[in-house]
Amino acid sequence: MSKTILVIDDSGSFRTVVKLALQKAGYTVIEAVDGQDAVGKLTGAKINLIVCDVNMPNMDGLTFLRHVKTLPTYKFTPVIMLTTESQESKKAEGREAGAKAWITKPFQPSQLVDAVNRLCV
Amino acid sequence: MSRRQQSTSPAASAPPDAGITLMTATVLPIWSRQLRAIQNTVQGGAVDLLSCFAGIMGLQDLLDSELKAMPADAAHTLALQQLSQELALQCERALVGLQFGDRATQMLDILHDDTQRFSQELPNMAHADAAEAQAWLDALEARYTTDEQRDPHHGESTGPPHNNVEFF
Repeated sequence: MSKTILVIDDSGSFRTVVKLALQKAGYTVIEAVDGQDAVGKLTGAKINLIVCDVNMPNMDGLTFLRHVKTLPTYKFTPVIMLTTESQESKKAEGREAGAKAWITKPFQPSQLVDAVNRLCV
Repeated sequence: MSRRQQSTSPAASAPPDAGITLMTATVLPIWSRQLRAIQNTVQGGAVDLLSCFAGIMGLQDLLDSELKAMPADAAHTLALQQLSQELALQCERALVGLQFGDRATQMLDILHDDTQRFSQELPNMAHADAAEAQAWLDALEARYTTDEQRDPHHGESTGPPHNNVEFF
C-alpha cells in the first residue's frame, strides 16, 4: 500500500506540480488549499508525511506546523516546508517549530522525491 | 479669465491635494485591475501547460511499461530506454520551469495588494514626511517573500533563484 502525503499550498498549479512528482514516485497525494483546510483533512486520515507552503491565507504554514505538533496522532509525522521564502529567520522558525526540512521554490521534482523518500520511513 | 475669477472657480477653492486624490482614485483602480488580468493570464497558461505535462508524463509511464515487456538486450529496447530517460529529464526541467509562473503570480499578488493599500491611504498623505515614507518602504519590504522582490526594492539586480534543500 502506498504512503500518503498531504500537500498544502494555496496555489492550485503548484499543488499539481507537487502531485505529479509524488504520484510518479508511487505516493498517494491528498491536497489542501491552506492550513485551515489541512487541519480538516487530518481528521480520520492516515498521513505519512506533510509537504507545506509557508505563506498562505486563513492559516499560514508555520501556524499549521505548530498546531500539528500538538496533535498526539501527528506530532511525529515529518513535515517538509516547501516555499519561496528563503530568509534565514523564517527557516529558523520552521526548525524550532519542528519541521524536518526546508525546500526553496522553485524545486527540482527529483529533489523533493529524494527528501520525501528519506523522511517518509 | 481674471485672477479674481480664477480664485473663485471650484477647482481653485478645492483643497490643494484634491487633484491628487481624484487622480489616484481614478487611475490606481485601473492598474489594480490590469495586475489581476496579468495574474489570470499567467495562471491560465500554467494550468494549460500542467495539463499538457500530466499527459506527457502519462505517455512516459506507458512507454516504461511497454519497455518492461521487451527483450532487455535488444538494440531498439536500449534506444527506447535512452529516449525514456531523456523524456523524464525534460519533464523534470519543465516542472521546474512551470513554477516560475506561480512565483510571478505571487509577486503580482503582493504588488496588487500594496497598490490598493497605497491608493486607500494616499488621501491622508498630504503632509507625509521622510520618516513616514521610510515606514512605507519598510512595510513594503516586510511583505516580500522572495529575493527577486527584495533585491529590486534596493535597486539591486537579482540572479535566478537557486533551489536548495536543507534538512533540520
